[in-house]
Amino acid sequence: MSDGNSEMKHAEQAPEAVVQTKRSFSIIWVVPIIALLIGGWLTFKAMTEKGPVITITFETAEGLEAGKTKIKYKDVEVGKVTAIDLNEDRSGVVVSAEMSPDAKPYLTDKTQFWVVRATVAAGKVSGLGTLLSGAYIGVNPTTEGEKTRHFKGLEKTPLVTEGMPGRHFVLQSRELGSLDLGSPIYYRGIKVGQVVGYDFDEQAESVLIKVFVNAPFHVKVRENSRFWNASGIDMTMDATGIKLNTESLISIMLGGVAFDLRQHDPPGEPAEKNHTFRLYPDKDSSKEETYDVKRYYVMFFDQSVRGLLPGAPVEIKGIPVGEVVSVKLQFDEQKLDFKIPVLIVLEPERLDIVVTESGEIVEGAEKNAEVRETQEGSNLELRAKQLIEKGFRAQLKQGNLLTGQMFVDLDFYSDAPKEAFEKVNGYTVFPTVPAPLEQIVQRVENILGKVEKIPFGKIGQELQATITELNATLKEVKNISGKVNEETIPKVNASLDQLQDTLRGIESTLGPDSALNYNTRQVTSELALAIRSIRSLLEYLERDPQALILGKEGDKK
Amino acid sequence: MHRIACHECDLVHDIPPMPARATARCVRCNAVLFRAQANSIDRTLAWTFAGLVLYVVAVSFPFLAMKNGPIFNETGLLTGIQLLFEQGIIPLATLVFLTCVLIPLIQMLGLLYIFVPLKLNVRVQYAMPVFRLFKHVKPWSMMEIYMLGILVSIVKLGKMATIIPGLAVIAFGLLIFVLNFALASVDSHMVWERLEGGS
Repeated sequence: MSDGNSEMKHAEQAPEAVVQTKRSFSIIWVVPIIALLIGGWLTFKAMTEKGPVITITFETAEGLEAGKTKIKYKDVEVGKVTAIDLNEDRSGVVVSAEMSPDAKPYLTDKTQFWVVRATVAAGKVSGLGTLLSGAYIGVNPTTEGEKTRHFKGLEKTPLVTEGMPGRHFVLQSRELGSLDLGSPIYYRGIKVGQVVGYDFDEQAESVLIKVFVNAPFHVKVRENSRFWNASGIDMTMDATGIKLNTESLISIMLGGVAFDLRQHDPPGEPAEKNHTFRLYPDKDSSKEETYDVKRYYVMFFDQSVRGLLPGAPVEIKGIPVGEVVSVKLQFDEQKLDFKIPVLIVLEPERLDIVVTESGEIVEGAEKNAEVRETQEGSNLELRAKQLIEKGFRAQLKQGNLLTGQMFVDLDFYSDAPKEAFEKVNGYTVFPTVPAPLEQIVQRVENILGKVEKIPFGKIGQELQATITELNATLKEVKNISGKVNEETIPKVNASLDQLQDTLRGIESTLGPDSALNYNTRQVTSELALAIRSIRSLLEYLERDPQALILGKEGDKK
Repeated sequence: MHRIACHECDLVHDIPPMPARATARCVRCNAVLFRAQANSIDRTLAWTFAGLVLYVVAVSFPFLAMKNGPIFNETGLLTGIQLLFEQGIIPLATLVFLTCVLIPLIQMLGLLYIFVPLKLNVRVQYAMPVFRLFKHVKPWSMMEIYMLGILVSIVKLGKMATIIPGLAVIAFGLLIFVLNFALASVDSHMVWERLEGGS
């Protein structure tokens, strides 16, 4: 206070100085500016780091959680689920996710998303980590395809992710069978790949199974490799015992595919990506040859074709050369007759050795070339005509007596009636001869015809007359026997009575109480005594022959 | 010239005009009656603006991330409160929300409401009730306690899981200081005077 008073005193004496207040910028404002700058920079960074937002549709949001579920590629986080909503028709869920900015170039319509959940299945346990961390969305990024922000999530985990060394192939099969995603692919018992997908082909006629063979084994898949379904057990029984053959225990349970070259095939070029192979149902069938050259013929049979099925073999002298394609029933309205057109296919490549017109013997690849050459042009028709003229005919034969299966046998029948060479619906008609069974039937018919000619009626009449006579004879016999009954038998009876009397007399004479019997017994005992004394005399005489002269010794003493 | 009672010993003083940065003390007990703040309005406003920026950052950016193997959990200040709420600890959630989110915001907005008109020399309605409210809620701002709790949990949980502090933690920590600076810059004496004089 005293200071203020002294100042005031000074002011009275001197003019007041002009006070210039410095209205400069206060240093303190730097603080909010810095704060704003940092805040603005952070926000800017956050905004720019915010990656593209995508939507993925799934069937179910099981295990997914907004703000928590990650999108991972090779277990590296590349995005995060931000929201989960039902789609418009409530048939699925729409998952919105924020991807990291560097994922931008991979967001194409070829990129796949799927939910990784814990899976415990036979032969495979995966995603156990998700039990603790919750499910996550896996991604298989690819730069191919058109850019998009809306994806359709896969319900199943695709098994091969881009960039894995190896190669994709396609197997064509009638049915999927026991195969499933992840079913193993074996090459000589080593697991080299797996089934990664399956789909119908365009006509939905067959199943296309996508497989992936890992490097370095993918080069083992040659263009002429054979794939077969290795599921199950292959049991063969031969002289050495029972042999079990299977790729692995897992393939028994899960199914699997194996491939290899056939034993004598030279390895072809390694197959290209997505090369299509046929999937054989088992190893044995995979070994069968395939033939490119096919010739179709139609045969008309009059007889029953019961037991002839499509696929039945067509043989020449026991060697299969083709098979039956179809068996149909045809009605002829003109003739009011049924016929059975049987379509067959002949595969001339099955011929192993060909002797050409010029007398050259060709085999193997050369033979196939020769066969193909014949396939083209009118050469084929000419050959067919020649063969038919020579009596080449088809005949149905019993293949298996138990099951009644039939096959078509081709052979030469020089005595077969001549047949015209004709075509029906573009197919050459292959003339037929009746089956052996048919011939037998014919013979039996002939026999029956002869049997019919036998005059059974006349024979019957004669037989009746004979029987009448026989009857008369039998009556006479009866008369005779009546007489015997009435006259002879009483007499015989009387004789028998007399005989009985006689026998009784004899019995009384010879019976146990009869005098004769007693006397005889008496005589016999006497005689026995006499013989005994004679025996003792004879024994004595034997010891002492002198007794005859000298008398008994005892007497002497 | 006006009077002020010492809040320690209740002796009433006459206050002379004070130069900047001067301190008025009680003649009897030597307690500080008040300090004449230099540039109080500017400084308060500056700190408050900085505080608001930090507040926005603290609220909108992830606060803490906890990682334990495949488990990854990230929370923000508000999501944390929401989690508490969802887990049924409603009183605690309310408390945290009030002391750490709502009251700091009320404080800063209140400061702006008072000081911007002062700076611009304009008059606004309800300035005095707002300043009174500001004074009332001041003890309920407990961001530093929340921060302490977080630090304790980081130390404790550090053994069980990896704790990754987010940007918001730093902003929040700074906000504690900045807000305190702003509050310290408030020359209540001057404010009351100006408000009174103005109205």
